[in-house]
Amino acid sequence: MSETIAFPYKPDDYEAEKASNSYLMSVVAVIAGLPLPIINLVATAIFFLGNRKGSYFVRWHCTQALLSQLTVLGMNSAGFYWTLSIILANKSLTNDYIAYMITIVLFNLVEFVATIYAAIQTRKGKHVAWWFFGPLTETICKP
Amino acid sequence: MTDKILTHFAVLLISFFAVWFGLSHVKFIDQEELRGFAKDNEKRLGELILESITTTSEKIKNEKIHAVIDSIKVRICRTKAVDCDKIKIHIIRNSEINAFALPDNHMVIYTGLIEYAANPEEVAGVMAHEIGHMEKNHVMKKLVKEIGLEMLFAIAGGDAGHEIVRQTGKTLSSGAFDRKQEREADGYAVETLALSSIDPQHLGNLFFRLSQKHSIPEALAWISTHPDSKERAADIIKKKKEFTFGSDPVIKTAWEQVKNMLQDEGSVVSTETTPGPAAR
Repeated sequence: MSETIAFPYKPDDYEAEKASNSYLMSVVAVIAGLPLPIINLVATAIFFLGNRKGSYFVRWHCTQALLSQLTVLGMNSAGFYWTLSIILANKSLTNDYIAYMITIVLFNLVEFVATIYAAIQTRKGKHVAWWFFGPLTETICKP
Repeated sequence: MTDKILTHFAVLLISFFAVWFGLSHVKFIDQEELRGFAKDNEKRLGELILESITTTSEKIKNEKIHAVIDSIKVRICRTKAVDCDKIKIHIIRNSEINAFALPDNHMVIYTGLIEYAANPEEVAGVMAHEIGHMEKNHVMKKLVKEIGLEMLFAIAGGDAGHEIVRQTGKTLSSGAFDRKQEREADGYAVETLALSSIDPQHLGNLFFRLSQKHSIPEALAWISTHPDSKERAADIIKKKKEFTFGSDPVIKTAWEQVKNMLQDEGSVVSTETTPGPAAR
């Protein structure tokens, strides 16, 4: 799911705090804007933009947090609009819908736990790379 | 690196769909059971609302009048392959120019509408419009939206008082459907009338005449539940141009004779005395 790997340099305490905050930002925003799937992404994107000229370690973790939020946004938006169509457009409640909602709750939970874990580890200065998002961030974010 | 990303992405995607697919095979909702439950409740709801209407208003029982209205119903239903028997018509003595659909395909027609209609084609137009609401399930959608599912279950389960049932009936008899649903029912009516060789123009005429008669309180009933009548009359005339149709008489009996039958019936029939749910 995630692994702690070696980083080209040892980040200082200030960088570790900023990198950790990029994950915390999405967690806090998830709690604040739970019904709207866009708020956590917006919060993470703002934090990412604010740190795009930061150190490599900070940028790397901001990018990983942003990419994971984008994926979650895609899943949650589909669920959000499906729910709206049931409430407003009188679409019927089906097994597929309930199964989808449970699936996205499970994936959100996994993402939530991984985010908390990454926030703790990066605060300690450890470089945590997630499965799929780690290699993807590695490709996008250059030193 | 790209291969690794693609592999990870594929695994992520497959695991997402696998979880979804797996969970969707769990029977969270039994659709058949849900449909049966909904149907039973709708039936009970329709009976209760109808009962609340017939306890306070006289139900016309004249077989000749029913035969005329039923022949119009059959003509409309046949063309759209709608099961005629499922639509239950109730003619109620009331001077309001009104007709409305209730749950479980009950249609209430007030004598005021029959007396006001210039010809049977106008009544056929209104009936086709109401059948449109039934076929598109607008009645239950409206009740769920305005009364709420919980309250409907309470009514159907006999846990709500007579006044609540009466008010629910009033929601249907004097409250408009939303604009989109009214347009859908209009569209359905025009198509059905044209296929039944009844000129939809008659429905347009009725709409137009009603919109001109705001000074007559009785006219306000159907018109208040069917807003934008002038625009809709124009839409009906526009839409009817999409169809080519003949124009066969709807009934063989003279329309004035049907109206006379209603008046004669009024002088001999007494108010029905079926006890309402509250009286039981």
